[in-house]
Amino acid sequence: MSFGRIRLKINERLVEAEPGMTVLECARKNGLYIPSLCELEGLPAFASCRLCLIEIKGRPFWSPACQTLVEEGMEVITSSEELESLRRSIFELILSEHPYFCLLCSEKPICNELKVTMAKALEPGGCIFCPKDGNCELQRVAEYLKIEKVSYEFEDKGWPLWQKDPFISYNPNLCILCGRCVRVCGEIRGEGVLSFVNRGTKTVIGTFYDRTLVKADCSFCGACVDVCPTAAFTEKGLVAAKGKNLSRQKLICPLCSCGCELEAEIMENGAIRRILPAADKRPAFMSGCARGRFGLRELLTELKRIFKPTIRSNGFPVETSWDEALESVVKNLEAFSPEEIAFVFNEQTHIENLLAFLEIGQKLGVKNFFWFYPEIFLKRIDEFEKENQVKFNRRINPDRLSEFRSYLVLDSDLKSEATTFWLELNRWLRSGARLVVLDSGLNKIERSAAVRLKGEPGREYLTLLALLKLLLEKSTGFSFYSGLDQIVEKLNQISGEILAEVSGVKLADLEKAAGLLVDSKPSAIIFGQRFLRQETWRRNLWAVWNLALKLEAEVFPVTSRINEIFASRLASQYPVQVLSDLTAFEQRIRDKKIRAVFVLGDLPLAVKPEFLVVLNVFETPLAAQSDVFLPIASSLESSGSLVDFEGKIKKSLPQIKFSENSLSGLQVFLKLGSRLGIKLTLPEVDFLQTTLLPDKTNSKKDHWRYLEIEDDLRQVVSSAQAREKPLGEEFMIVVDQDLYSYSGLILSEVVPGFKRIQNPDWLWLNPADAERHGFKNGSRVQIETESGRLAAAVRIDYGIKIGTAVIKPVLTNPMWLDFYLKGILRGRLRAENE
Amino acid sequence: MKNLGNKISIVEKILQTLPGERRYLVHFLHLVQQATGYIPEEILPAAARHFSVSPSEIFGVVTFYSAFSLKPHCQHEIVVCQGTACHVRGSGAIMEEFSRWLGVKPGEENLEKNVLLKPVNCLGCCAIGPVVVVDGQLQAKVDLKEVKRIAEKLTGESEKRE
Ligand code: SF4
Ligand code: SF4
Ligand code: SF4
Ligand code: FES
Ligand code: FES
Repeated sequence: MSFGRIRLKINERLVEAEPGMTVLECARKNGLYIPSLCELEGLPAFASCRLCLIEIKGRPFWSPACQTLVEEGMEVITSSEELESLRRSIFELILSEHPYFCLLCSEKPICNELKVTMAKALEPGGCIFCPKDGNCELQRVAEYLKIEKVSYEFEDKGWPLWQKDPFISYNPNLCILCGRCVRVCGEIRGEGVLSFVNRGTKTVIGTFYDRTLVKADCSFCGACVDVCPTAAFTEKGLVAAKGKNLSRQKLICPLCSCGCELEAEIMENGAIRRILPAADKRPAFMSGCARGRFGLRELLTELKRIFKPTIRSNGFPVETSWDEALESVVKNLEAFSPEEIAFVFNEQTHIENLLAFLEIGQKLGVKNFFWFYPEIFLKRIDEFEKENQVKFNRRINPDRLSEFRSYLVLDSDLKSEATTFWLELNRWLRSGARLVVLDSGLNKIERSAAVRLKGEPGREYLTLLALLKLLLEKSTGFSFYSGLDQIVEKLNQISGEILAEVSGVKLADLEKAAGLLVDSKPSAIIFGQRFLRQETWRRNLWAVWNLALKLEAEVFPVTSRINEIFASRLASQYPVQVLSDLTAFEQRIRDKKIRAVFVLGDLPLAVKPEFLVVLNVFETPLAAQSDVFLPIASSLESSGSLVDFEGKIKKSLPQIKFSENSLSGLQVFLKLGSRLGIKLTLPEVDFLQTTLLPDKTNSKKDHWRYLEIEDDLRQVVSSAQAREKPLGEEFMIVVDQDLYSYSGLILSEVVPGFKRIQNPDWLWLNPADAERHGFKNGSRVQIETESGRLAAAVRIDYGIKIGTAVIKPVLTNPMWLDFYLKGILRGRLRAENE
Repeated sequence: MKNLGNKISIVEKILQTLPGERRYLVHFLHLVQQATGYIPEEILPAAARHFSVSPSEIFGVVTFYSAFSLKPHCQHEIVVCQGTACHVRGSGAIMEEFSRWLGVKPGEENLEKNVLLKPVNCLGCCAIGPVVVVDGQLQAKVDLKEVKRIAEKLTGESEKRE
């Protein structure tokens, strides 16, 4: 096969193409339009609409351009009398099942003037009611084909409309069965919520037993809306744009480590019409999720927001001017010695704000700088590297995923924690790479896995040791790195069966996983925050290191929060410490060692220091307690930079103003600085990319060695066996992360739709456990643990192991934080009314 | 629903015999259809997890093939002709008698009794009326005694099957 360029003729014009391109792609690249309604970038052709049929010289039949690969010397005709009439008949058939009055309307040129409203009830009734708002792909095709009449009558199938879900509505009567939504949902997103249901003339897009999207476990990523050529899938509650001037603003989503590039459509009155994933670098459906596209808009127009600073007076916050508020901060801080002041920040804000915050503190002589970082993820990796003189990757580039034939993912639901990383990984699964998932909690990527290793929570270490043992048995060959003998010797002390048994994973599954990893090389080992938020985190990392050497695999620790990598690098230039457990910190406040606290962001603090300043977008409970609250613009309203999981600095420059009064964090710090007589000398952000966030990959590997197993494995196993059966009705409770919050505000509390998608008080259970306890979906229960009680609502999920429960609290109160830091705990469940 | 627990355990046994690979899905559905007479909704989420597909995908497959049915059907079907010719020969009484013996109402699918009693208007063989079709077998000139015999045979049989 030649890798050079291919030369072919389209409509007698000589064009060049890359091998592997389809004729449709090639034509498009050369500015030539071929009607197409089912083709979807990044997926193999489906060829269902038949509109892209073309003629190829020397071939007796027409071929669909979306399914035909370019060949050297090919001669293609995309348009002829015959082809167009063929397309017209096909299109007329499509239109017999889709309302077409708007496509034939004689008033079309002045459509926007006549258009009065968007659909209220979604009934198919022609252009003025169509939620597609003039962007229907059928219009483009109708124009191209110059359709003037349709020989068939439109048959309204009368399917009921789907309007019970938040954010998305679906009208099956507008569907032309192109299949794009089914494929994007199943193959690209890995969700599989949608499916073709029935056959023949009754075929329709549906869900499992026509359940609502919420009940069918839809993630509300919105990809189906993005790809639907008609208005069958639509975003709910859209205001008609009526072709008027919409401006577009690029922004970076701050809600998870992906930092997706989004685009806000702004109407003339300044209101946000909708937020979509930007589609210039990659197709829209390859990024974004419910949080960014449906959550941000409503979060930021949240009614509770205040834009003026407040000062506490007589116990109540009173609105005041910026001058007075800042004066009060200065006066109060000056009353304490620098040792008595603590500066604490959350990373979920523009990095310019973080830098200015630290600099002000430093210039004030403050000694206590804290990054509130309950994940402790990168800190633990740093610590482990120092202790063992090893090195893991930090900046992880999803483009590199193409290099691997297998992936081993450990305790990380990438779909939610690093969505775009998952979409990239899934792309390689589609072309044959294999996935092994080891997870003791809830992991939505498991369905795409060739092998699922579902072990006991907290025994990941043992599972990995068992895997290592099997790998050593399967591929006995020479290993490049030294130190293997000790490992082999240690692992010989204990049988694979026993290791499998105590870890809770079936030996057969472990064997399958080992076989797969040996056969599909090279592999990547990927893990997330939950893998290290456990008592055994050091051992987990040991096991990963040794496995990686044995498999010659690359390791990718994936962060889940925006700016996480950046904040962890700050410690190299500023005296920043990680704060996770607040007990000691709170004690210092009680002991009056720390008397004034300045918080950038949110913090679940249980004691109030003598003087508390909070700078945040929202008036969170902590802000409501503060002596001075400084409200700042969100990352939608101000320009600034965020750092994604790759360690890339991304700038957003939106100018969406919600209030004349709002200042960006940076503006507040500059004002504060000038009051203090401090001139801030902030580093150039672009410069930071190379100084603070250098792109270093592990190059020197030759001196690496296996890390010794220090444990007496027989003892580890027997102590695990001793704790084997949780007594009676005990559950192992896995505490996972909830990314459905921003600056201390919980999405489900402010955006009603999210109440039905993710709540911080949900508890996931296996159906068998739920049945045994008489719990149903929604049952209210009490979780009783040694660390305290917690109320929760049951969610039944087949992806949870029997005897395990999963919760995902938001860290807005001390109890939730306590659970979160433990990561895994034992507890009982009791029905609430008992 | 009656016997659901029973059906779930039958299905679980079937699941255990099949590798968790997508290509066994249709085979699995055939086995379930044979064993339980339909595809119970309750079993699909667990099956989906076993075969690593989404529940919606299974639903798509089940609704595509007419060999699979989503609802349980009765095992037996008794068709009693109510056309004019049969009517004048007393088919009304025959229908009533069936209804009394079997404890099911005409035209209703009764899953407890596992019998469907179905009225039709003329089967086109009026000369041999009253006509009754029992599980596809045509019976001519049926009288009340014959009704009792048929009913006893059917109920006896379904009791044995339980
Ligand atoms: S929103 Fe996403 S998950 Fe839900 S049906 Fe559409 S594509 Fe599937
Ligand atoms: S709903 Fe839209 S995307 Fe899905 S098959 Fe129908 S027309 Fe295509
Ligand atoms: S939350 Fe993450 S995946 Fe979702 S839109 Fe924002 S950055 Fe993208
Ligand atoms: S785009 Fe080629 S058949 Fe639809
Ligand atoms: S009326 Fe009974 S067969 Fe015709």
